[in-house]
Amino acid sequence: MAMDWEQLEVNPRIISAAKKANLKAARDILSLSGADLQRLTRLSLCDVQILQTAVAAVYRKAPLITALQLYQGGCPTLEPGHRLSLGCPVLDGLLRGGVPLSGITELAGESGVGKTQIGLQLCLSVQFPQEHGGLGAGAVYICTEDTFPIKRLRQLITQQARLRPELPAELVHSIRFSDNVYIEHTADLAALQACVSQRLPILLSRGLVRLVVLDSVAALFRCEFQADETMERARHLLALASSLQSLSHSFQTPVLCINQVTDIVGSDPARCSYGLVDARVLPALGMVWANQVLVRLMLQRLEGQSEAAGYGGVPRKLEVVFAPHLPRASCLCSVSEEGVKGLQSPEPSHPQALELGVQ
Amino acid sequence: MVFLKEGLCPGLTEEFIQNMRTKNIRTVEDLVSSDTEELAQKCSVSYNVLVAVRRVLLAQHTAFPVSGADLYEELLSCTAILSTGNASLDKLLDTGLYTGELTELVGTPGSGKTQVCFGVAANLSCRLKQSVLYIDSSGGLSATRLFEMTKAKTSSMEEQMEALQRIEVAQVFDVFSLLECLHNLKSGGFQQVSAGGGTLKAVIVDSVTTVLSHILGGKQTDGLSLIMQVAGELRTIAKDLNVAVLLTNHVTRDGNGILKAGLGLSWSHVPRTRILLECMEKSGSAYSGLRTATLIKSSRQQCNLIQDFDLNSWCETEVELPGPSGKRKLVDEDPHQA
Amino acid sequence: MQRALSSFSFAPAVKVRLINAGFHSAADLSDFRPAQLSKEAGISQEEAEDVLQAVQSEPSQGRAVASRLTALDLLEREQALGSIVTFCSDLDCVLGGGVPVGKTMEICGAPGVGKTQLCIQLAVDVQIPVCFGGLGGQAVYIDTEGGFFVQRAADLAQAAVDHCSLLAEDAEQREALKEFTVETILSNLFLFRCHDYVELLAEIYLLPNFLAQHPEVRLVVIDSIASPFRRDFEDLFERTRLLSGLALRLFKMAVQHSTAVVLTNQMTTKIVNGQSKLVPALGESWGHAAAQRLILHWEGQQRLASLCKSPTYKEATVPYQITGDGFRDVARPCLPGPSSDPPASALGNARKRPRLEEDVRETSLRSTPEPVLSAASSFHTTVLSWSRTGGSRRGHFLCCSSRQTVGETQGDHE
Repeated sequence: MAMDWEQLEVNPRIISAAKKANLKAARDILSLSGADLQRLTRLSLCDVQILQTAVAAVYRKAPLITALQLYQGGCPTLEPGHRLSLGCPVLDGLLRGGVPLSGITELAGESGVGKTQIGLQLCLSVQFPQEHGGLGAGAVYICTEDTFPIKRLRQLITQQARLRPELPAELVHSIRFSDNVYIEHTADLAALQACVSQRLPILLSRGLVRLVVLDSVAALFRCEFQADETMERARHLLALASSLQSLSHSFQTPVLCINQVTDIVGSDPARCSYGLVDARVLPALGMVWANQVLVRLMLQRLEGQSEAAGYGGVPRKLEVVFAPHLPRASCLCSVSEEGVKGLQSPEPSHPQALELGVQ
Repeated sequence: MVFLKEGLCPGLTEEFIQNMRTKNIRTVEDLVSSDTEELAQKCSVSYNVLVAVRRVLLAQHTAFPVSGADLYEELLSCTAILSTGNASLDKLLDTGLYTGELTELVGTPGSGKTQVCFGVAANLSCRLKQSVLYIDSSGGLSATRLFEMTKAKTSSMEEQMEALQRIEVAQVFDVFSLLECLHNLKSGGFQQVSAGGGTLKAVIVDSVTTVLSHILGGKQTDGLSLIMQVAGELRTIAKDLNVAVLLTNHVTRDGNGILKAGLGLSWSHVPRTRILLECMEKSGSAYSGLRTATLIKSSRQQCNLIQDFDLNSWCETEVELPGPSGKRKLVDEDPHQA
Repeated sequence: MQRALSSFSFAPAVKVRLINAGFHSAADLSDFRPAQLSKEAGISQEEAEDVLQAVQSEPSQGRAVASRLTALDLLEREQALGSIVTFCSDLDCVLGGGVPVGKTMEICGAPGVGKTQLCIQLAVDVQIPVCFGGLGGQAVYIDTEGGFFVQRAADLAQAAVDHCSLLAEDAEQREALKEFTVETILSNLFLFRCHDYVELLAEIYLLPNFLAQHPEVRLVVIDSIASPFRRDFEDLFERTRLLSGLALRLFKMAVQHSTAVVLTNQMTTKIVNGQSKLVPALGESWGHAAAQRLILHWEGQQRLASLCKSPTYKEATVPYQITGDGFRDVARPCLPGPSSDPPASALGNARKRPRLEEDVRETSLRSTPEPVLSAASSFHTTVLSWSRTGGSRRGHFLCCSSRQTVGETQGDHE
């Protein structure tokens, strides 16, 4: 970002010194140490400090707000109370309304447990208008593992009315769901990076899309890097997370990253179990990725459980591993023809009543 | 060198200086290093005046030779050895901190550098009744902790208060305020205000690295000159005021993961004695007060001496001090093996 | 006046010219006028004025000497500033009453272990009215990860308000409660959002002015320092340099504006001697940045907080939990700690914290000032603690005449 010198409220002498020193971007002025800047501009320490403060004031984009203003919705761009609904009141209850609009939400689980189902369901629910939990826009679905399950999407579309009986039928039928799901297949990391850095911003800035699903983030990183390339892998992973985060923040667009899991083998002192003591598996990609995730969900199969009341398939457990605004909680859900639905779980559904962490 | 100025010595008049200046002679250095005869001709000044001026200036500005015997006398009469209050550390330091010298503690975060500084400060002010200047640039100074340490040394409230008053604190946030603080100390600012009585015997700087490291590196070169200036000031203070200077420094790892003192090669010559503090690797108790101190630079003792000590020893009361719970013994490592 | 010119904060180029012109110490400049100096040293008139001003203001630096403190003054100041309770009495014990104001503290931990929860908890607790033993301050929250959810802050604020209303005994406290509502708590929590490190740097350049305008701020949270600095850097030396400059700024802010500065940091995997382990991110030299370091970690299902660097208190590890209401003690059925005492006895014992045997043994070593100093004699730390034994919710109120005694029981408990 080039510096707009006109905006600076400092002595013209200081500005001309800064110009003479060939300082162009605010970034340079802010990240140089005082002594470096002194050397470049030939200004005294005091002047340099004035310059840096003035540049900082111009550079600051977000205004100061109090938490109360946020709470009362005075700043919709910063924290909308709105969440993207999953299309099921029980699951939404678990997530306190749904998927947050800003930040990366991760869904981890073994293969075939139903992660993709939830991803697809979100692609549809995002298309409903705001008052029905959606965002009134389409979705991008980035496939890195398998081909996009187009048949299943069609099936889900036909079953929408059954999944969302509370919505007016004419609304459900009026939306042309399949037109608004943009599908990307990226077979390697370079293609994924190109997609995220070029095509996604275009779709997002045109307002066509308000949801990004990446299925899955682990596939490319697990196969493209050898065991000894951890540093390189971490760098690419961070870069990807960083661009997804900044897209999410600037367009208020939820990003759902589907992740694989790894088996727990032996005892590794560096492994963080997130307090999941009886888990057999943990989300893949390690600490580097986990640090970038805002909300981590895990979907697990409950083996040995009998068929739950009337729904087909083995019940699954959707668990909040961590989230800044959610308690550690879980609920049972089932995958059926019309989609993923939460079962009224035996645990108290209201998060306030839960004691976390320790039983 | 010194700028030529009126009144510097009798023959040095305004006219004379102007005259010199036209011949590009501005400082005492310029004057004494130029050829007197030639200069006298060029400037049309009397040769005798020039020689006289030159002689006076030389006398004023040369170092005064001291014989080794005198120096030794002075050393004996002035040098004090200040106990750190911890027998293990005293052993490494050859009975304690020497006044007139710079001693450096290095270590990883949480290795106990600051605690040792507290311990030394508390011991000096409380037991030896001397004043201490504590320069804090890392935010680590905790008066609460110092108070605890003095409480362990004396039970009299009055003495505790006096001891705390003898510790003067300066918080500095950049290298210039550190230099200013040291300069004030040199020019006598300290003596006027030392309220608790006692003379200044030690200056503690915790830590030198925090104010220096961010001006190093990058694209600029004069970070190094500032480092050497800090070193110079500290040395002068140690000598002129005859105080012990205790510094703390961070560590860096070299290619093999071996710990080295921070701030690079040029700083590494500054302190006379350097001690590396490390947490003791002991399974079971992850966080304890036990530390190992290794002497990594010294002019008196063999290097690589290793001593174990307990950071909590300064908080133990007098009675408990010789008890078995305190310091445990000392493995003197053979330097030839190391 | 013998101070070397190179030790002044002039521009380096000016310094070089002065030295080339033969000026070395402040005394050399004593009887110069700007115009004369400008000619003599080949610097501009303005530069010469700056130089002379700096040099001539030098003798008045005697002020700086006079305002230097003794350790006794500092002790009184530390006690007057107090600390921010965490609502986890075990952790408060370890920290000597809570997060100290006027110092920097780093909280490290794996994602989801509760760093943000602790930060929000502190931002709420710093506002507890003075008559309840709090600080009645305000908080600044710099969010770089997007982890601050205002609903969560409102939950914690509500819980704190409920808790204090249970404790209100006298008229003053009831009066204070009228002003202590979720709305006022949220309105005293100033939020900044930054998305990259330059924005964070800009914010930190501007904070001193903000703090000068809002003298009631007692807490600055940066959640987290790690994510912007881990994301965009190729040059690690540059990062280290920026971070150490930043650390100095934060320390200055904590001292000059009497605020606690709390930073959060991520964990990273490091291979030491062929074994990988989790260590705080941003490199080893960053470890020197904050005066205190608290590491939050998991052990099985239990969340633990380890104080692993502190200039004041011993390293120790204590358990905690995150409830719907926030950061809380773990109910310990086996240990007769203060949190399992019935409220009645605690109130009856209001002047004295029920001590464990181990505590008594430790008192002589670890207990902090008895109220003997004149300035400190009015000093009372009120510890708010919350117990949730057997599922029922009880609050009780402990008032100690000295700061908390750090018992070693928690350390042994591990």
